[in-house]
Amino acid sequence: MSNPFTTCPYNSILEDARWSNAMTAKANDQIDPHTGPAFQIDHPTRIATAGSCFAQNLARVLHASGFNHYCVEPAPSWIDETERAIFNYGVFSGRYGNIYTPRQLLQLMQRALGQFETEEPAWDAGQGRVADPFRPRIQPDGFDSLAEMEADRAVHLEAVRTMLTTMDVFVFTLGLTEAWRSRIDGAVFPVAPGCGVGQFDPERHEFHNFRVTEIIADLAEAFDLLRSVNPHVRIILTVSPVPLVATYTPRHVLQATVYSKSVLRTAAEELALSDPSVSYFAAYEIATATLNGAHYFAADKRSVTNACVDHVMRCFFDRFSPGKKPSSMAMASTVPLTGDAPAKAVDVICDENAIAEALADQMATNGLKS
Amino acid sequence: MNPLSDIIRSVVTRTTASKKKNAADETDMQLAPLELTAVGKAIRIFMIGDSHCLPSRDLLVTDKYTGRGYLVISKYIPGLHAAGMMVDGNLAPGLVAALENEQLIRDGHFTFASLEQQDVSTSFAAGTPGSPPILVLTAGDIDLRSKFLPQLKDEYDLILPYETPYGVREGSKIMPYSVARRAAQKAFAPMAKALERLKKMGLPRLMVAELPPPSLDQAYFDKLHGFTCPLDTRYKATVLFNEVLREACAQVGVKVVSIWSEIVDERGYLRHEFELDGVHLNREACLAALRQIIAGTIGESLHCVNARRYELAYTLRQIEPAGSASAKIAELVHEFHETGICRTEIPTSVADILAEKLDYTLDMGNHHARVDWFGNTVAPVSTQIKAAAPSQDFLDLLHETLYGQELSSLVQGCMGGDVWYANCRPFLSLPHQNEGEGPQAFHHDGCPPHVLRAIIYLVDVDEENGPFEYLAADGSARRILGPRGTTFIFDANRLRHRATPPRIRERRSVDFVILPRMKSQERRLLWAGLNNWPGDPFNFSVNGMRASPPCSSDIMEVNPLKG
Repeated sequence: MSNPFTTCPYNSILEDARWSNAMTAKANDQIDPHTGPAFQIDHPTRIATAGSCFAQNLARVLHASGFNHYCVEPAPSWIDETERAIFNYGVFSGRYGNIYTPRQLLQLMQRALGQFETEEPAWDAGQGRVADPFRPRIQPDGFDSLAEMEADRAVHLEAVRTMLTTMDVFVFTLGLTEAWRSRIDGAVFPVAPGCGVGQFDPERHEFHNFRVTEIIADLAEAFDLLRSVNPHVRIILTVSPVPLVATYTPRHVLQATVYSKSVLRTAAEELALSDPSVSYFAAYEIATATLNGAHYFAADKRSVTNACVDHVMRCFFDRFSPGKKPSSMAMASTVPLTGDAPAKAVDVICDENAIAEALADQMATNGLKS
Repeated sequence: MNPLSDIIRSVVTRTTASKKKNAADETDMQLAPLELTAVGKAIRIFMIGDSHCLPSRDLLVTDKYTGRGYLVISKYIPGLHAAGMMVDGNLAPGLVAALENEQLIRDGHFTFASLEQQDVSTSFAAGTPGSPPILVLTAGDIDLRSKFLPQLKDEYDLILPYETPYGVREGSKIMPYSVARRAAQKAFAPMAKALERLKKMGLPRLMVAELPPPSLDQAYFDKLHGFTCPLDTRYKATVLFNEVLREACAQVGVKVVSIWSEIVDERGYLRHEFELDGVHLNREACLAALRQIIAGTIGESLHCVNARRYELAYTLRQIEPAGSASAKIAELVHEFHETGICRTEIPTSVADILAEKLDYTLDMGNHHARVDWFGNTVAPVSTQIKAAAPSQDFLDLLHETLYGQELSSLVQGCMGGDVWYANCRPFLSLPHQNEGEGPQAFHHDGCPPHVLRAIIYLVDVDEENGPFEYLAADGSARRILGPRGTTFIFDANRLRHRATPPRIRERRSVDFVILPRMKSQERRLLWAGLNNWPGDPFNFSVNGMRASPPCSSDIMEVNPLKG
């Protein structure tokens, strides 16, 4: 009797396409969900980063490993090392803060290239200070004056323009589908006005949960725009594994998170499939689907740990720069996968935390323990 | 004519003549004998700090108002910066050395307040009052130009959150104002601590000079510093540093000498005529600063009293041999010591004569205000009270009256020794219906130790024309009513008192400041304008004042060691 599986198409699939080989047979922290060739990154490659808070980890490890994390707004000498992160120098390639949605990324590019001007005024940061609505926490307590904010924004957008036109690789981490935007001109903000900075005005501001078609369209438009000024740039898309701190939709935050990540993951796949210069890197899968949850997420079930980042970066280097290892500094911060010690969260700067702070404030006001 | 100008002019003339003579006859080596004239003692103003104290060095100025001379003693401490004014919790060694070198401090204490023989002796020998010295610190510019501006260079600009005439370079990066402020605060924090330390050591007449406007010579700046920083950025940085400097000084109660408004043009830049060398201000600018320093010191003259010197003066007072004081005098003296006040009278006829000799043409502005006296402000403190400048006849008659046997015995009994009158002030209080303010509201005088006060009514005083009122030990208010010639001596530190506002008729009176007299002092009555008492009872200026007997010099000096 002939073998009934002789002609089975799965006989020719990659080793790592089989669960038993790729997952069952490997230790959880050795799983690398990537196959096939990818473009290569070397030390001189100018790698620009942007996205949600999770993207900061990538930037830090690249920098610490001696790669060229392309920083177009370097820290000035008058800020000491301990304050650089507070002022958002080196956190990403530019001082744009967290970019959670593709629409926010698209509008940043458009603003930098002189194609979009928002009518959103500066936000009140309290005590006579002002904040930039598009990077409300870019420096402690906002700016000292509107003039200072506008001047700094002009320099910032000029730097972003430089980044767009001169970077070699752009790593963008998709974070959220939920956003707050202007009713006037559709400008998208990284955080809801009124959460510590600015005032929420229902006449001017609205909530929007982007759908998959919008996400795909925004990404496509952003990348088209990027290539119009930098034809040779390569793009790496990732999805942040960090869940929503809160959802504004009337449903459970876990459902909202899974919806959001699913949409972003789908959109990333769609872009990668349709555009050969776009590569998807499966950070989300490493963090959430290698059955390392207890070690890869801190006690709050949301913040990722050093161990998670190390696993992600090990895979990142294996894929885009084989033979190179993440810095020993990064490795040193790895929490052992075994042992009973609680996993330690990685400190990242997250505009979304503004929502958490607002919720904590509300709980405190209501007499609840936050 | 200004005596100092005369001297300077004569020296210049003499030198020029001497040169001409030498040129005409080189063999004539004989010089005319020197003729020197003492101009007088100048009050020293110490400017200590970075090189901005240098242009004022040895600058001798006179104040046309009081005729008093001021000499600037500049102590340049190379490299002194604001952030380095405290070292290991102590004043910077260079600063301490500068103060010690001028004998302002010894063993960590200011010598002016010291009663150690060495310091008392030094003070008398030098002919300087035992009063807090005027000390102006200059620091902060090195912090600005050597530490702060190199961080800006021509790469970063500043935007100050208030209006300035200075522009912002388009496209330049911005150092946040809060970051820049923090840098300035970091620089001035040690300086503020140093100022606080100096004040705690007993130095109330302490000032700080603002950082000067930067030079407009950009090329020179670039060459001097080895980097460039655009003019407007430098100006904004200086404005910011001065802002923080003022705040730091305000926190510790130190005055700031600010002459920017006098030396910058309408664009906010340093006027050429005040620039010296691309870094420093010139003598004209120094004069502007001195005007402010001296005016400020006069305005704050209450800080000049040295209580310890007054204690010393009291211990050295002339104690007359016990005479045959009448029983009445003895009773009044007892009353004074019991209650803080006693009452007597001078003849009505004398009071009438005194009253006739007065012409109340002066307001309450202190036209004899000066740095070595405690006194009223130059600006009038009340429009309801007029003052008079007494004639010599008036002073002589009053002197004769005060030192008459009866009154003199009484005052000596109250003082516990002989006295002299450091001031007599004729006042005319006009009737008004307002609440009493200033001297017409209850107050203590804050006299130095062992200073007594007295008043003689020159008109009949009843409830309607402003009787003197004091609070007795039981808290009750008591008024002194009486005919003209009524005289009372009181302890103004012990009794809260006031001149009640006259409601219908005016009140005329003379009030007195009574000090213990030392052996080498004359029995004198001084009219010191609206000053209250000297900062130092052993050394004070009397120029422009009147006295009976008249003063023989512009400065009254008493040797405490021979008291």
